[in-house]
Amino acid sequence: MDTLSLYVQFIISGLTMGAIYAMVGIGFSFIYRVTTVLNFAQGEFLMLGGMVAITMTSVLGLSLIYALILAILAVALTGMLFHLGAIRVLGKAEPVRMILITIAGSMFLQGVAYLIWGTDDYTLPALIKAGTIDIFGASVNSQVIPVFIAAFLISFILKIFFDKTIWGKASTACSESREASMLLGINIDRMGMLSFAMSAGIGAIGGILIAPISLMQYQKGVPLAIKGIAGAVIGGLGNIWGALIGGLIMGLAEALSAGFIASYMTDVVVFVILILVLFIRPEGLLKSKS
Amino acid sequence: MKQSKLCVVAIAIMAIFVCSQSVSAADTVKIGAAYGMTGRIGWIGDDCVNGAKLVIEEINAQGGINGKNLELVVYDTKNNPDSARTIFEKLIKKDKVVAIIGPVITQATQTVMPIAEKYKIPYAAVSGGIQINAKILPDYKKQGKKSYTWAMSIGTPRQNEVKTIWLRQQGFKKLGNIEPLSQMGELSAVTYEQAAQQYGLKVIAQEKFDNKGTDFTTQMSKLKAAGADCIGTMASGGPAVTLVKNRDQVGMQKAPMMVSDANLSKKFIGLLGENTANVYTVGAKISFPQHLDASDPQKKIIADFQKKFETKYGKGPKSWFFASVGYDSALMFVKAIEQVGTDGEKIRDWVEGQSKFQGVQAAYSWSELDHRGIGVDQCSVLGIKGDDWVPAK
Repeated sequence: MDTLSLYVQFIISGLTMGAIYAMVGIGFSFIYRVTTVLNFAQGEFLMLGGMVAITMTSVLGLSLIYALILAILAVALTGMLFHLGAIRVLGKAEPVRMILITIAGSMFLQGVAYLIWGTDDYTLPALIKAGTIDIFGASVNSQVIPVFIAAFLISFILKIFFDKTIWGKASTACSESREASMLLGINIDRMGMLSFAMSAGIGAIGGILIAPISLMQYQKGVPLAIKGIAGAVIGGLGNIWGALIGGLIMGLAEALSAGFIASYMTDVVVFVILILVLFIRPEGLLKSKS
Repeated sequence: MKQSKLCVVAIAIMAIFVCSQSVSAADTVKIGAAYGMTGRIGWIGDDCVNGAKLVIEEINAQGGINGKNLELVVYDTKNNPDSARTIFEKLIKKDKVVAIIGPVITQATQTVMPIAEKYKIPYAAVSGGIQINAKILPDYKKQGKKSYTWAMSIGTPRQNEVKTIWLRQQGFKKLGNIEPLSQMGELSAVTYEQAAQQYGLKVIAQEKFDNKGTDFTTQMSKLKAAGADCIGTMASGGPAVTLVKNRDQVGMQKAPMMVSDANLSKKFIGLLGENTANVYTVGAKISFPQHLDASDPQKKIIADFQKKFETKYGKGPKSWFFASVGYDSALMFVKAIEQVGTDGEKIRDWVEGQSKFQGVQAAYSWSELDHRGIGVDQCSVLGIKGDDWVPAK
C-alpha cells in the first residue's frame, strides 16, 4: 500500500464516519431549529431505526424495502410520542431542565431496547451488493454510498422544506419567536411534534444505513450522538448544511488523528477542534440561523 | 396480641434456622459458590453453578466424603466486586466453607484475593484477564507467599501464545496487533510481544481502537501499510465483527485474524455473515469435542459430562465452556478434600501439586508458577467451517 492510497484511505474512512455523524447532527439541528430543544435522545432514534429494521427482516421475514419503510414510520411515531409524553407535558421548562428531560428520554429508550433486544449485537444484510470499490488504491465499502446520498439528499430536501413550504416557513418562524408565531396562528405544539417525528425518521434512516456497516446494539446510539451533536455545534446549531459539514469534519478529524497521531488521541483532537470553533466562532462555521 | 404472636413465630423460625445450621455444620462439608448470576452476563454464573452442582450430587450419591455430605452454598455476586467481597466474607465466616468457586470477572477476582489469603481459603475464579501466571505467582514466589487464587480459563497470555505458535507454524512472520483501548487490550498487546519474541514472530505494527467506534479501516490500512501478514486482537463481539469486515474491505482477506476466545459461539459466526474466511480463535478441548481423536480420553469424558448435564437440566447450558469451568472448579476442590481433609492450606497445596488432573474442560497441570493449568497441548486454534468452530490445520 503506497503512501497516496494510505492517505486516501484515511480520508475515505473519515468521510464514512463523518456521514454517519452527520445523520445524527442533521436530526439534532432540525429539532433545535424548530423547538430550541437540544434533543440528546437523537442517537437512540438511530439505534431504534436499525434495531426495528433488523427485527422486521429477521424475525418477521419482511423484505428489506418494507422493513425499512415500517422501521422509519415506527421510529417517527416513537419521536412523536416522545414529544407528546415528555417534551410537551413539561414544555414550559427552562432549557437546562429540557436537556435533562431528553437525557432521561435517551436512557428510557435504551432501557426499552435492552428489554426487547438484550445486549446482543445484530446485523442487517447489505443494502448494495457491490462489495468494495477501489479509489486510488484505497478501498471503499459500497455500503457507505447510501449513507452519503442520504445525508446530502436529506439536507437538500430539508433546505427546500424550510425555504419553499408553508410548514417549513412556519417552523422557521417558531424558532425565531414563539410568541409572534402563536399570534400569527401557528400551532407551536403541532410544529414541535412534526419536527420530532421528522427527525426521528431521519435518525431511523441513518440507523438502517449504518447497520450493515457496523453492527447494532442497544447502546450504539450514545457515542454516535456525542460526535453528531458536536458536529452540529461546529457547523452552527440549527443550520442543516452546517450539521452535514460539521459531521464530516468530526469524522475526518477522527480518522486523520488516528492515522497520523494515534488512536487514543482521536477524542482529544476532535474535542480540541470543537473548543477552538466555540472560541473563535461561537455561532458555528455556517452562521447559526437562530 | 398480634405482636406477641409474631414474636413467637419469629423466634420459632430463628430456632429452626439455628438448629438446622448447627446440624448441617456437623455432617456436611461446605463449598461456596460466588458467581455473578444476574445482569448482563449473569448466564455465565448460571452455567457455572449448574456444572458444579453435578459434582456435588455425584459425590453425595456415592455416600459423600468420609461419610460427610457435600453442600454447595450459592450466592449471587451480581458481578459487582464489592458484593463479591461481602459474599466471600460471609461464606468464610458464617457458612464456614472450606473452598470457594467463583467469581467470574477479573475485577471481582482481584477484590476477593486478600480475603482468601487472610483466611487461607482457596478459590477458583473464571477470569481470563487476571495476571495470575504472568505477575502474581512470580511475585509471591519471590516474597515467599502462597497464592490462594486459581483461574480456570485459558487466559489471555496462554491464548496469545497458542495463536503465535500456530501462526509461526503456518509460516507467517509479521504480526499486526490491533487492540481495544482497555485493560484487556493492553494485556493482550504485551503478551503478544512476549510470545512473538519467544517464537520468532515480529510484531510489526501496534494499533488501538475504541470499542464504541463504527469503522476501523484507518487502523486496518495502517497495519496493511506496515506489511502485516497476520493480525492479532483481543476484540470480541460487535467490534470484532467490524474489524473482520474492515480487514476484508482494505484487501487483507489473506491475513488470518486471531480474535478473542469470547467469540467462540455460533452467534458470532452468524454476525460475520459472508466474512468468515481466515478468522481464528483458541479453545480448550471442551470447545471442539466432536473433532477430538477417538483415542483421546477427553472425548468420552466430555460426552459423559454433556449427557449428565442434559439429563439433569433437560437441556444444555448456554455455553459448555462455562458449565465445564464450574464442574472442574468444584471437582478439583472435592478431590483435594477427599485426599487431605478440610484445611484450606492443605487443599491449595494438594491442588498445586497436581499434574494432568482430568477435568472436563481439559487436563490441568498446576504448579507453583501456573494456577491456570491449561497447557498449550490442551488447546487448539479454531477456524470457521460452515456455522461451526473447528480445529484449524
